[in-house]
Amino acid sequence: MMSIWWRIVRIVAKKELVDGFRDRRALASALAFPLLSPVLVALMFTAIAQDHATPPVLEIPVAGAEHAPGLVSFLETAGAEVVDPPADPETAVAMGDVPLVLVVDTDYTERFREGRPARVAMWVDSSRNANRSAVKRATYLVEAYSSQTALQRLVLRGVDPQLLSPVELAEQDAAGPQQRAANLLEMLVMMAVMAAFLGSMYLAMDSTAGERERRSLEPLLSLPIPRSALVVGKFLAALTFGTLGVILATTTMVVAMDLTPLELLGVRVVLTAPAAFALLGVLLPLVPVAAALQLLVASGATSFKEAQTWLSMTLFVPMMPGMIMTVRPVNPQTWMAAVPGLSQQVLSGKVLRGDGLTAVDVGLAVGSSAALTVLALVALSALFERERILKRG
Amino acid sequence: MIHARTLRKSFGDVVAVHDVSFEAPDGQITGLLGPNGAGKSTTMRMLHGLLVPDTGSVTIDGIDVATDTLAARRTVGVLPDALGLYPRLTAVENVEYYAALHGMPDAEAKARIAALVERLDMGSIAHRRTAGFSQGERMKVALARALVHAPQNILLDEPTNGLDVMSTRAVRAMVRSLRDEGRCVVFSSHIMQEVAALCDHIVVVARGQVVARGTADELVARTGASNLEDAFVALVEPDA
Repeated sequence: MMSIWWRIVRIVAKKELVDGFRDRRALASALAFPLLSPVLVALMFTAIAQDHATPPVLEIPVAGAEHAPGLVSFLETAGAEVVDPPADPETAVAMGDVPLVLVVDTDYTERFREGRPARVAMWVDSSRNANRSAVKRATYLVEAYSSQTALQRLVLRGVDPQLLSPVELAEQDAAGPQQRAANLLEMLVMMAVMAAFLGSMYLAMDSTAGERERRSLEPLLSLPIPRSALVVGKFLAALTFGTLGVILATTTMVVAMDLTPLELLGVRVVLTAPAAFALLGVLLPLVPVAAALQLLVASGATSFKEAQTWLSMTLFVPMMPGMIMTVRPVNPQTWMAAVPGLSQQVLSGKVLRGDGLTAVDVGLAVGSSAALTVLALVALSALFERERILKRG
Repeated sequence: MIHARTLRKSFGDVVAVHDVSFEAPDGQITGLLGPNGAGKSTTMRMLHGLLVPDTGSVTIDGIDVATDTLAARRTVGVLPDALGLYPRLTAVENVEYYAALHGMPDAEAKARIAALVERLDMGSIAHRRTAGFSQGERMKVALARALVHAPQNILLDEPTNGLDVMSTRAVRAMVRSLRDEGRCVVFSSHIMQEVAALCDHIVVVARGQVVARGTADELVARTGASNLEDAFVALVEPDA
């Protein structure tokens, strides 16, 4: 009896896999996301890391430098390089040839000597994001020269310069590069968690709501086969797709982290081969839960469209722990390993920081996954035993 | 042989089938004739246990469908009114899937499918994916799928719906040859001429009840009508 049951399971799983591999949409949903997303995230963070690296020497083109020797020498002392200005500052800035140009007024020397505001114009193109840091640094340097001069003048007149600063604003940036890198890891894990769901999503939908919509479910249910075997066969096919998705996502994730200059963000990430496998091991228990739950949700929907709506909502559930942890990190607690989704987020963090996993962690992750999967499959079998399963919306 | 006794089925407040009893013997084509919504499809679904009747019972070759559903179904080939195929599988792959689910060994399935492809004249479409098949081509694949395990009992729910003349003829020829092999065929239709041309024995169903049974000639004689169409109308709409 059991051998017949298993034979049906294998036949159904094989057919759904052949069908799935011929389905471009199923393949795209299983493969495209895990292949592309970690690479995108890595690119994003490479850019951030490079911003944090030692900035290049700032070149400041100054027109009329001869009128303001004090300013020029201040800029050069501060590490900037004063260069010859372009012939037409406005065009040069608008074309993006130079990030900015300082133009010293011809009456600068006279006004400076008389203690009146001496004018320096700065040409910028505010639509160019890439120049923002250069503009910010140049602005800061000119303002620093201005404050320094003001200070000297006050001291010469015997005024306490502290009178100029009734309030001192001290900006302190809590989001250091370390926090940003931790965010990167959490985002990557979140994407792998999504890959577990996306991998089996389309197949789960097509083999249940899709089967009903194309009206092939009725003849199938008229066959002399146990419906539990039918359900488990469909589950195994969805499981295969989900597993493929997660293996791909983990691989691209490890490669992406390898390519990201994490050391520039001041983070130590353990990326040994055992760690990569541990990461995969942490993610895999989520796959059967994702496959079984998505089959259950899709089977409950009355149409393919409705199944799509429900499943895209289901997708947010496992992502929630990751999103919350990106905004507000929590300290890992033992029980968290037993909540699929949260478990992946917490345990991958442990693996990536180089802390080992305990037997309790692994037991909770695998045990809760197995329990939830079996529960979903029992519910799915019960759903398939009902006459209502044939009813189309 | 299929034996249905006092079948009744309701969905919520709607009673789809009130009281249907009939016998479909081997070597005969039994026609279930009735207008749309008479309860034919619901009855057909109860015959092989896809729907469980509220009251009454069905036996197939002496096996009770309610208590031993899977054993009863092994002797039945079903062509539901839905001809859903798998569009990414070829015609033959669609049929092979069902052969495998029936537990047929590969070699036996291959030989049987080759014979059906020949018999249903499916040679040109056998190895094409079924996406975009015409209604007639879909019907042939669905028929092959229903017959792949050489069932003794065959349930055909409106099999000629939407078919052109050539396809209709092919289906009729197939149904007759199944009868001549000694199989039990139950054929439902709302088209009287079709049932009259094909069936040995007609069960007229209206408003979920059997209103008459007999051969086409007997039905005409019983109602005193001059032709079969008038007889049918007299039977399903007695007050008209």
